[in-house]
Amino acid sequence: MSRGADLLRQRLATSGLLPSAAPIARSLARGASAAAPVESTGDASPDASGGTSDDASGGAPGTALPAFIAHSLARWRLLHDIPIAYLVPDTAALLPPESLRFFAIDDAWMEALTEGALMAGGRGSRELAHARDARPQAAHEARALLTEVRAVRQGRLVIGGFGKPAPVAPVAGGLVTGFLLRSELVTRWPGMELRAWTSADPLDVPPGADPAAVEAARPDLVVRILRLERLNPSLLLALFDGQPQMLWLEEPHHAVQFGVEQDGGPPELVLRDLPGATVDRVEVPMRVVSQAGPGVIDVAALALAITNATPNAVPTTAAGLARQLLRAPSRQRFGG
Amino acid sequence: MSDMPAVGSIRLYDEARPSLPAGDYVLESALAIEQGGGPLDAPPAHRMFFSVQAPLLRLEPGDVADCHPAPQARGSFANQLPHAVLGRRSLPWERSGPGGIPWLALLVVAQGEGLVEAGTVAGLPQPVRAALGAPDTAPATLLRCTSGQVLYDLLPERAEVPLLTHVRQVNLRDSTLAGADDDGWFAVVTANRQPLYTGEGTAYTACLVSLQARDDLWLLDRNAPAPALLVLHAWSFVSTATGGTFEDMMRALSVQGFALPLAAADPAAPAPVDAAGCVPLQRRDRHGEPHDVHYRGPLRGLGEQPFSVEEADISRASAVELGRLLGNADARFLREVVVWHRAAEARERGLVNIKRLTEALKPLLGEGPIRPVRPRALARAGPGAGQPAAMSASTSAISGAGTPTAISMFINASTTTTTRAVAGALSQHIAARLAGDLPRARLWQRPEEGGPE
Repeated sequence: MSRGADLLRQRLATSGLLPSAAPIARSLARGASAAAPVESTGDASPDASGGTSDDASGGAPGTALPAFIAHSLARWRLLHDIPIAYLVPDTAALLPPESLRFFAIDDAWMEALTEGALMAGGRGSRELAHARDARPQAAHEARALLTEVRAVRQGRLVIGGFGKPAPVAPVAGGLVTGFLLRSELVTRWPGMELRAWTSADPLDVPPGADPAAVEAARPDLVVRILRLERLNPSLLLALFDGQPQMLWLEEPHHAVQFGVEQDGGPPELVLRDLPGATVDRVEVPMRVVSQAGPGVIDVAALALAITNATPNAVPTTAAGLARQLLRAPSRQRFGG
Repeated sequence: MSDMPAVGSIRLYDEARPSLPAGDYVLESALAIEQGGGPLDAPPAHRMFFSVQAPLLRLEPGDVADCHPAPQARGSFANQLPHAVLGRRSLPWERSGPGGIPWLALLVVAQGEGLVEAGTVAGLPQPVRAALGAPDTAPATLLRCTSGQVLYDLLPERAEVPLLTHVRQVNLRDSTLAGADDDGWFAVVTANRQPLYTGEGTAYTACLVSLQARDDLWLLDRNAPAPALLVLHAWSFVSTATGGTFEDMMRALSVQGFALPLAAADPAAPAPVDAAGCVPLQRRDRHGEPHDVHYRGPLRGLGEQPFSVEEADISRASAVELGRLLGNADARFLREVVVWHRAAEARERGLVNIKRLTEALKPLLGEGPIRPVRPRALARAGPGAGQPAAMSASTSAISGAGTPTAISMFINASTTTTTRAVAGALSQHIAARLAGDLPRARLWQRPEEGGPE
């Protein structure tokens, strides 16, 4: 077993102090009776329940956490504003180029951060005690707001707005997982699309499935994306509500490639009908060039060929040509 | 928003013409007032000038949402047509090419076929300069093909230009663009050329050129030098035999959990993280002495790991300090948290916390039962009692024998404004509360109203 875990167990056994309370215990020693146990207010006791409803933090009377504070805590829980050096202390070892790293966000770490944030603006023992007492409740409120942060960031929701719908409860009690992708992929495909599923079973989510159809049939399979952001031109951060079993990373749909097929012979274009089934193949007419290099397509002739190959010979327009030239976006599956 | 296509679907449109193309306009308005068939005096006609603007000499970085192949990319792009994705769907129609075609076309120029260079508007042919209306000294990027024949070979026919430009709508909910410009509408300008690989990595430059007032391009003298083209956006890439596609790069990724101890590829190299997921760091104390410490961030690839309580583990201290810094850095957060602390303190001053008192009194009273006392001059509870008498129930400085008197002493010692008499009454009240099953109560008490004992 790990050295740290052993030491921790010993320390817990001898001192009776929870590790999370240790620094506070020291700072509070001035004001607290030595005999009285310090950590006693985290649990709501029955005799305290007669107070007002915002007293859920137990013996320490608190006032309700303002909406902005709760939202800020939720934002920081989703690693907004957290310097990257705190996340990845050793870039070369932990996040080399062309790597994908999965993680879960440590709740204890975030509780410590919450505690520090609530101490902002005052270092008196009273603030420290209040911050410590309010921490469990604040963390609880912040976890409940996790699903709202993205909408607020996108300007679709106002913090504490009037008539605001209640936030969707996070699944898995606020467990947030995610990945960091450091790769040239992020640079080249900045609008990369991401889907996360709770099941890697091909029976649940077939590899070539239409995500909208799967989502309509089994909404429980979709893992909510809490954050998807490029931290810098080659670093992508994604956070999920809960733990996905399978991920799809797809080429951005606004920039799906236009392509032709070429297997040694002349380039061909596969014609598809609207559901996407192959109906025909036409050879791509190339322009005869005299001085420029090869590869220039005779677009007008290609449009005509497509028109002639379709059943009722509807003239091919820009959208029709684009539809035939589109290739299915690449999709990479992880997990499962 | 309601008209979004489903996630994963694409809608294609031929064009999106703005109702007014770019240019200067005059809006004339006048009133005609009549009565019984005869005109009456009307206010003079009103003229209003306005101009509809569109990019002229270059596209701003925000106008181009995406380029494919990506700038500076290397890969086997031979089977793909390069294209530029524009963030505003009407952009290709905001100005007009000859005969109403879009004013944008994408030319793919191989190395040696032409040169993209920085110049000024003066490098363009005279009729084009006149139509653009920009000063000759305005900087502009120009494409000069090596000969008229090369330009003739590469340029799409006039009828082909509209075919190569279309509008598409996608759903950006699950992409990194969500939240920014995410209406899902884009205009796509496609090139008419495959960037074929012709050995040794062929370098191509894709140039989004302006066709505004360029009737001359389709009446070229192929033996004369090619006229310069105005380049609005350009990027270059290299076509190779293999690799470089989305699938290739995805397959080449190293995939694993974050900060796993196994991360070191070379077993001889020191592990970057220890078994608890911590990274060794150096810290200097106030005397400049270096110390070996370790730290782990909020991301864990392992299972649940409690914080280590070793002196050398700075993880928890870092988290608390970072939280404090973040809180202090956000003015609104700081303001609200201070107000929140003050409210809590004001509340606590007016509240006797029975649970804490019990805890605090344990060393005084022992575990024995507390004698219930019927409160006589009971402090009145309720919000109407005015200013609270600042009674704090902090758990400090307890000494003396375990009697109600001691409780009153304690309360007296820990407050500044409460009289001894009030404290005496309170002590009995508190004792009653301790013994009974009454809920925790607010005790508001004016000194002059307290019944002296």
